[in-house]
Amino acid sequence: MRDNTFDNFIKEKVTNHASAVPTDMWQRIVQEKEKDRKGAWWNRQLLLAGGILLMSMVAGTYFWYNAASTKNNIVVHQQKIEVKELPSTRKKFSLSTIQKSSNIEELSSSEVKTSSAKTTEKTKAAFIRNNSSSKANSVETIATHLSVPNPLFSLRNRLKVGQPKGKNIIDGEQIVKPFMSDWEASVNKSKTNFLPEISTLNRPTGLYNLKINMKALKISGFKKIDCPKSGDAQNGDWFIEVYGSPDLVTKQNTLNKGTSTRLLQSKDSSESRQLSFTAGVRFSKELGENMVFKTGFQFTQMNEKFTNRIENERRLTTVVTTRTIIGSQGQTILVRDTSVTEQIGYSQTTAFNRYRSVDIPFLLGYVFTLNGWQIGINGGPILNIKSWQEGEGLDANLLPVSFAKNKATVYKKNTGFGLYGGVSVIKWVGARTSVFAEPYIRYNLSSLTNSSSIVNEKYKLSGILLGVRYNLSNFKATH
Amino acid sequence: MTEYEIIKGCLNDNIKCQQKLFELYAGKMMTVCLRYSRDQMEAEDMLQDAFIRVFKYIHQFKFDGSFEGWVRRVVVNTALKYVTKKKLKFTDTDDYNEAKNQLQSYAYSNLGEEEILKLINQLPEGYRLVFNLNIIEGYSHDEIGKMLNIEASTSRSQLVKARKMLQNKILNMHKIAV
Repeated sequence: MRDNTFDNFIKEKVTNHASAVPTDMWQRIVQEKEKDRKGAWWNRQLLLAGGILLMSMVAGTYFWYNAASTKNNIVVHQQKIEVKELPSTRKKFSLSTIQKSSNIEELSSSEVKTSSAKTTEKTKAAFIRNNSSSKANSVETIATHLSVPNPLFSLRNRLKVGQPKGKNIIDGEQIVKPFMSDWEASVNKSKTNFLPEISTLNRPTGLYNLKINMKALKISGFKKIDCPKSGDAQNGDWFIEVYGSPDLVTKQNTLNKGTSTRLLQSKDSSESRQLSFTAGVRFSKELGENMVFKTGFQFTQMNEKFTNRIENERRLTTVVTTRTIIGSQGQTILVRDTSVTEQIGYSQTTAFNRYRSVDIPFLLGYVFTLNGWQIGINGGPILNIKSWQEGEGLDANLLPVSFAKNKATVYKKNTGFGLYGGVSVIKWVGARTSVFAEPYIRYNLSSLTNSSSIVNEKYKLSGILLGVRYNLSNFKATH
Repeated sequence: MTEYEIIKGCLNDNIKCQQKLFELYAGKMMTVCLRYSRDQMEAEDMLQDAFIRVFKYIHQFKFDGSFEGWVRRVVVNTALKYVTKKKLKFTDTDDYNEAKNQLQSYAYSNLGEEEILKLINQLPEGYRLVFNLNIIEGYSHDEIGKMLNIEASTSRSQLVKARKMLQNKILNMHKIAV
């Protein structure tokens, strides 16, 4: 026989042969398509949420940097000393405007105006609060606008001004006279020596340096101003947050390696999610004005009800009946009758599954104030450090099997990273205490089950964290 | 409704057209799945996945050939995904030794489709795959080599052995019948 003839015969016979298709096949396809659509919808939502989270984090970082740079921006608007070749008795000089500005609170603002008279012996000085007009021809202004950061954050950063707040009008004679005399002395000493000394003022290195420069100029009349170190401006408060949340769990089962879809369908129908919960404690540290970093520990328990019904379950019951009869010769005979009863029915297994985990969140948040409420947008990874499960599930043969904690099961002991996003609303209820509510969503990136498992199980958690926040920092805060 | 209209409807995600398409090809494609699967359940899963892929990727059909051929290729590729997940072993068996006897055409001319399918399914997995892909689907040995990640020569030898084993089985069946 030629192989081609045989091959062609087989091909002809088989190619156009149609086999019977299960009647419910089309319904199964439609259902699967719907699942795909829902999955795609969720993926889109997840991408959208991720995008929003990313954008908010980028925006938060941008605002944070802007706020930080504004706060530290000690601007020396004008800093020049003019020493004109005037007659020895007539010297005109101008001191600069030194201004530190901030966007939150202005503690003090003073202008120092001095007008130079035609003779060096005469010096008029006037400290006038807030933009008082000058009648003098030559005006030197030292305007110092000091500020503190947002009071919702660190009051530690408040600049301690030696002069009590509000006492802005100071007797200029006390301050300017010695200053002017020193000034004169310096000018008279040497023009060439004087200029470099003054030029140190031109370095925009902050108020702290300015204090040193002022010392160099021997401006003894000014009261001491304690400025924060540049790093201190960034340091915020520590908070401890204790919270709990009722959670809703969405678990997604997907097939693994040639598993039958029937198993997936049976698994989906046998498992129903129950109300779950999360509880934890975390520490938050303010980073600048609006950013917060949070970390801690949290415990999550996902609850699930497992119900499985096995049809055509057969139960054999053996019944042994013992009786005594008296024989024809009067002897006693013990008779045992054994009968077997077969019952056909179904068996139902019900179990409550518990999926527990301990995780560490690493969250970055952006906080802002809105109508007296503090709103925070938090997001970041959440690292699982331990997971354990107990309950029952279906095996490849669609039979219920139990999985207990501390035993090798199809479930992982560590499920790796997840993503967390939430929006918190904070309300202060005391000087140090605030309460907060934080609706959140958490998505676990990897499956709960091992790679060798027949089904991959991924879950999403959504809930609302309700908690109390306490300021751990030492200073007394006012909000 | 013509095949063209059905395809156009499927392109617009029309569920009725998709159902028509399914009804049109489900039987034939089920046969394809049965030839590659181990059992009926696996074949059903293959068919289900294959049709979902057909509906998903129907826009890739360019109307430049047989639509049935395109659907068949999707089904075969889906079936191969299932098959290749299991680690395939292309081993030799000695069952075909008796096939040295020439098989006359009368020995198989009366065989029905179901019988032939049953015989094909009795072949070892490696033999069956190569036989299906080469003889029935018409793929070359080079293509089969790439699809199954084996050498073309392995595919050739597997085919020879598969054919002989199949002939042997037919011969045995014929002897029993006689």
